[in-house]
Amino acid sequence: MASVVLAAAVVGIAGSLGAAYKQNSATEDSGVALDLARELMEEVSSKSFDPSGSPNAAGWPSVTDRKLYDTIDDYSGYQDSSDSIRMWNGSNIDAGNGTVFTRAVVVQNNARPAGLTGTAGDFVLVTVTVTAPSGQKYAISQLCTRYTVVR
Amino acid sequence: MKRSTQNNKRGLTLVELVIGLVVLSMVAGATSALMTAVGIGWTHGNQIEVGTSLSTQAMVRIQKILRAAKQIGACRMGAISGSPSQAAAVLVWKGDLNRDGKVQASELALIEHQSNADPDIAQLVCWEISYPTTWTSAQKQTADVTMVDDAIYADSEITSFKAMANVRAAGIVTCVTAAEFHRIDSSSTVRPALEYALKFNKDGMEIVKYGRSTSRTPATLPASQL
Repeated sequence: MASVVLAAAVVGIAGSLGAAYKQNSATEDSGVALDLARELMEEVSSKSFDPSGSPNAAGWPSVTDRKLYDTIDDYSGYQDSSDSIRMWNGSNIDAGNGTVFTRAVVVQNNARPAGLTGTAGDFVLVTVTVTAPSGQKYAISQLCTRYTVVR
Repeated sequence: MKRSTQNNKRGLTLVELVIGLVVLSMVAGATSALMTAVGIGWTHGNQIEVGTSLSTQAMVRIQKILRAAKQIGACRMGAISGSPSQAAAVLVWKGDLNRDGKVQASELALIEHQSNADPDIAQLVCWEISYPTTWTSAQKQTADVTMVDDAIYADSEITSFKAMANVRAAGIVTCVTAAEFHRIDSSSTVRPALEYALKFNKDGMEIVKYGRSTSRTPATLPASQL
């Protein structure tokens, strides 16, 4: 009887400790994933809708070096992983703190929000999805519009 | 007939006592291990919270400076690992506040990494001109210096700016043990960006944060810089 009670207590305590550990891990993962997503979204949204010169440089998947991308749609379908994020000088850094996060970009064309007038082609919805090592996905979206830069 | 009650009061034998003590020590050991595990979990959770808070603070503050910036000037790369010969630093033209098309010293900011053997003191700082609060606008205008064209792109200007009168450093974020900056700009770039990697060390836990901030003020490089 005592053994059964003891075993039940051990299982209960181990379960609660496991849950606490998972919660910690999930908090850490979400922080890293959101940082990685925000960074890539900042980069995508800083690009022009249309190429500033001609011809328009090719994008993903024929060109995998983000340094060469010049428009938002170049990122459509882009994928990388956090242990090989390429910095501007060509060096790779581990931005996942030892674990591997996968980033993917979806660029949805003609994403004019309902109720707005204007040309549908002037709107794209960019979604960056980061998959944590646990399989949990974190996604952020941003609506980008075509505009004219006045210098 | 009277029975002696004393004979019924049986004490613990030495063996029973020892078994009791062993069981008690096992329970104490298990409880101690449990408390240690809970403590480690709590510390780890706390480190994650502090790390996330520090990195978010750094990114928000860097973004605040860079998003409104007119131009990103001289940039020293630094390094995220090893010992760089020069610490990471970047000179920023915050904006043409008096709309004269020229860069005044008061319109500049310098983001610089200051390393230190003590991780709690190693930090990112922002150097800016801060005139005495008692000064009038006229006094500030007189003290201000108009920079030579393109001076902000010269590496030497980083050192010169820090040596100017009334230039003071304010902390952006602490516990930054290493930093690496890359200026992303070209003749066709309308939104220059700064890419950065920061290594934080808080209570022995090291994390690397990678970020990028883009100027939201459209401004291509001056023709002289092409």
